[in-house]
Amino acid sequence: MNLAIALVKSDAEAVLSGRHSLLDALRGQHLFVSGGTGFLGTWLLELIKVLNDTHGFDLRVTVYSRSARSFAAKWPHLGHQPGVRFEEGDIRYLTELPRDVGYILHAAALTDRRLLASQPGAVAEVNSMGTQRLLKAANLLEDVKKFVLLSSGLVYGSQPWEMLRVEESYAGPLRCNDVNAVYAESKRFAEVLAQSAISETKLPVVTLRPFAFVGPYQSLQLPWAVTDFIRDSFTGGPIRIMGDGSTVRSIMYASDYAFWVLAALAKGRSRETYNVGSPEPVDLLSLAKMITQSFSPVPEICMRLGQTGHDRSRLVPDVGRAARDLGVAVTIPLFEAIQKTITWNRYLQN
Amino acid sequence: MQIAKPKLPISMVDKPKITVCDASLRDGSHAYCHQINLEQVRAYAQAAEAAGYNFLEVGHGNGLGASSLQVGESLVPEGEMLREAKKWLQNTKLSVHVIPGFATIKRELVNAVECGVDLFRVGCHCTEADVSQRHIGYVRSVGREVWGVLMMSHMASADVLLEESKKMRSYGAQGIVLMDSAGAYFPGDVTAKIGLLASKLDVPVGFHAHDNLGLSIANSLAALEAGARIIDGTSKGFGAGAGNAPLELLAAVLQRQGYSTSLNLYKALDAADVAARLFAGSLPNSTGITIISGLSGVFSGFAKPVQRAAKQMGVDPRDVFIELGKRKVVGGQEDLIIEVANELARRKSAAAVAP
Repeated sequence: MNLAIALVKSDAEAVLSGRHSLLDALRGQHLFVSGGTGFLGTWLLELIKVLNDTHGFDLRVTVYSRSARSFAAKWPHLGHQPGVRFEEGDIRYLTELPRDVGYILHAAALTDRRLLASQPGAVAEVNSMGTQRLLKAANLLEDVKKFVLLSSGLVYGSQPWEMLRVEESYAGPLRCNDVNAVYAESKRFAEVLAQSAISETKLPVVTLRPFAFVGPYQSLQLPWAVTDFIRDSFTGGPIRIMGDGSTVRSIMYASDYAFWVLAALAKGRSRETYNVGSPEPVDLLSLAKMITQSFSPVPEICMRLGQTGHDRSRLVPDVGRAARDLGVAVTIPLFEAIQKTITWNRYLQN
Repeated sequence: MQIAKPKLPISMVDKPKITVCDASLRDGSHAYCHQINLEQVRAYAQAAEAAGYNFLEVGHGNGLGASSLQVGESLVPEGEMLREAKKWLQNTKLSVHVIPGFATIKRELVNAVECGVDLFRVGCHCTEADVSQRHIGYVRSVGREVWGVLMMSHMASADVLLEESKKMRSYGAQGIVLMDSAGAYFPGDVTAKIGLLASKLDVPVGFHAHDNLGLSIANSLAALEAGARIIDGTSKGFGAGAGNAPLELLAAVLQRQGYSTSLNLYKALDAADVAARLFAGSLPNSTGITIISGLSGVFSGFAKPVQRAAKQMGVDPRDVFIELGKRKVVGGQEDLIIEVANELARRKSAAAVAP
């Protein structure tokens, strides 16, 4: 466990090294994070711990989550740090925020694909009503400097295969009469709610559209390609790819993800929308090979196991706007990100 | 000696490879009142291995953990059956049927993993995929293969089956099988439902037939033509009710139709002979009961308990099936059989004393 925590701390220090001045606007502020005990929230707390302990930021944080208490017990090095307060609650019923909050990150959402399939109505409710609740609560504050809404790269609908990277201005089709669109539609609706708040009350909202990520604290039980491949490799394989492995994604390491989000809080332009993710494409077969080579014996990769005709899709962001406005870049290449994730899980298992 | 394959039209040469699942030692358990012994497991597993079936499914007819007074007690503990079968399988993988509720994760799934089960087929009523999430998730977490199985699938429309399949897929299922548990499908139904799933899902789709209306092979063929990549059957049709698609016939049809498989036709025919010898007297055949069962859309596994209850209450078992069909009962509601038979007996006696 100690090795796992040390690995993450080292990554948090590395991503902030020489860049923490980008976040100077957050010094002495009070940040409210909804949904702050998930994958991103945990990493934010890791970075904030370094900002406070090493760089004297004096950044106070209120973490609002349905699992705040169990989180604090599970990760005591994050759960009991000075300046961080946990509040347990359901975002749908939030009414007010601490009066001195200046920065807000809305990350609370139902994102698990299994839940999207089983309880799509709950997804629609939490992701939309939760956003509306937090926007209203934010409007009651005296001095909100930034409200960052975490949306999703899925709001683009299907990225055309010939479009190498999708820019923030692209608006792809979503089929609102298909239940499978519920997550993306709930995020699109959350975005338009935020735009309404900007129009009505001039709330300084910045919208982020995250893509795919990997790293410590990410559950390997999640049914995503990268987590599937790592988990199946840990159990000896084989890795099963239904199509021909040509589907393309891009995957960003967790420390970069957390830093980009903090940078959006500090430097994001109000009313602006930013893609967050790696701009480097990787096809599923290459990803599987990248993962399996870290195991011995190397797990087998089986392909073309599924029905034909569903072989490929692409989801890769253009992050030029974030690079220009926020001054951010990818610092951990994918191969290194994979290695770190595998190592962290090995530490955790031992 | 394997007979030479006939020359095939070009359109047949490119047909996809089909995964063939042998459910004889699981579905056949229904037909054998769950009294299959270890000698039978050993002898049949060897025959299935020789025949080249991709998977051999073993266990109680209702799957792991189902041995009970309500649905019938197994002669042999499932762990012993699985270990015995595993000993004789090399290329053929060992699979089990899992119905959440009968099977718990801590008790049955953990044990089955230790017994070396390769594939878990997690089934539920066709409109209740939600109940399969934890079981599918567990199997994926330990690195074994898992498919979702929608039982009694004649009771739901193609759109509903697709919705439920997508749920199972989201939980991690690596294949989806539609079961015609009541033997109620016609080929047109199969084409519509399997065709939709095959066109919308990225995982292989399969079909499990029952022969109540004598259509098991026709329906299986319709499934393959509609895009199924997995097909179930049992040697000599050894399964619940009127039995399943006989594997020896499927093997012949698949070969003639040009589908690529891992089967050895002669050995598949031999496996059927082995099943005929091992389970003589219990092989399914078409009767008035099984036909009415199929027509009324009632789970094939109800055949024996319905006949017992009808005899006990002095009513026509066909009437019991028709009434159960009206009530849309599903597997797991075996207690309703007694209730229905009792109700029919009450009506019968009331009619007899009426002036």
